[in-house]
Amino acid sequence: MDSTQLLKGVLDVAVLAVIESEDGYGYDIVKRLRQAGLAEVGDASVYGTLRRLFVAGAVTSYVVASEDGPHRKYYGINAEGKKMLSQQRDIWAKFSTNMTTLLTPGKPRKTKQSTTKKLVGSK
Amino acid sequence: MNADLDTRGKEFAAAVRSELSDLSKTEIQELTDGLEADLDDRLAEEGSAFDPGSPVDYAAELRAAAGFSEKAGLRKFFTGIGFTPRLVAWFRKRKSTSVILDFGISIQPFWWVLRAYVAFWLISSLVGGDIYAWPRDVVSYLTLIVLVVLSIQLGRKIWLVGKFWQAVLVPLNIFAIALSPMVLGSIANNIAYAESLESYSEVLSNQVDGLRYFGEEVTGIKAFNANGVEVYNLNFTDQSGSELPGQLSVNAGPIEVPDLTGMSLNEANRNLDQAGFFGADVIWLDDTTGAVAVVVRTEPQAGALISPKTVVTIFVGSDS
Repeated sequence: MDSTQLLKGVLDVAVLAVIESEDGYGYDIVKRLRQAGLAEVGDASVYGTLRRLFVAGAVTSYVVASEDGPHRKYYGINAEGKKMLSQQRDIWAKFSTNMTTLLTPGKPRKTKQSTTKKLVGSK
Repeated sequence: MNADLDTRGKEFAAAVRSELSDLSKTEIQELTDGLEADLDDRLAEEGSAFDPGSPVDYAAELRAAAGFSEKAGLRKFFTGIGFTPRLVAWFRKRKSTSVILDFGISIQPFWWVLRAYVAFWLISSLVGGDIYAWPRDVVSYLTLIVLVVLSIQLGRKIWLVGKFWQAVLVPLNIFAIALSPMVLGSIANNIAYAESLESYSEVLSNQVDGLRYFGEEVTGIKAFNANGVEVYNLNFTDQSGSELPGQLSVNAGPIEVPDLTGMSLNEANRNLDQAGFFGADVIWLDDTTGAVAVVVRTEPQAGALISPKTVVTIFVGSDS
């Protein structure tokens, strides 16, 4: 399994999480995600996600001029973004618990039991 | 150093923007605003190891993450998967158009062969220059066969059924449809041309011994020796040593039979030869053993104007 594939589905919430406490500009956000352990995150994926979150109204953006170089575009979370983040936290918590249960060996699983029953019944 | 790095970031950002050129100005700005600054940061951090990769891939990643579809345009518009079923559905709406569609489906194999031929025609015109209605050598025969097989397998949806190929094939098919009348016209032209060539070469073969001098046809040749006496019965050869046809070697007009009376057989033969005759028959009038044989008369007679091809009969008798 490729973790970049998994990352695609959760990049929104990951980006929202890293700017929750402090606004950041593009590459700064990429670095924070990498520091958090998501080493395989791509620059362009993050910038694209930021734009999508901006269109969805979950983040605000503002440009900061630089004395010696191109301007920087900062992103900050707003009320809508915070709402989205808390919803996605819940979704993630449930989802990750289920996945962990499913993938942990040795524990009985609902699906397995139902399959056995079916097999017995068909005899 | 810094200036160099600055340009690299700028150039890369410009390349990415051009890859996004199908989006609106605002969208491009929203996606790439601050890109230079971000790239500069990376440059500052990574230094000479900085490698942003391909701007095309970068733009595609940006696009996908931002929720835009893949680069729009012709490919998307012509995606065969969507195009063909919609067309079929439209034809199926009414009974009249449905009949037309069924007819079209039944002649589809003809189209598969025709489009292979169109491709063959196009390739040979691009490669060879001269276009023939039909392949002329092994390579072009094989090319045509491969193209026909490929076209039929494509038509039967056995090869290259992926979305990408289907998308590529739709414009190619349209191109082939557009080219077909031209190709068919060229075949007709080719056949007509080949026929005219055949009849022309027939005319040529009838004029096989035509000889030209300053553009004028030479119809007779006469040869003279150093004394100005006409010489007959010469053999002509061409540059390769092949003998030219007899008609060319002499003036075919009538010549005079020389008077051979009283000459020995050898003398008579030499004289006939010089006069331009091809040969002579000799008839011995009586037993001449022991005596000197001389020509008594000829048939035709001396002074008669006859064709050099006529065989002159020499009557030889004893000189008494």
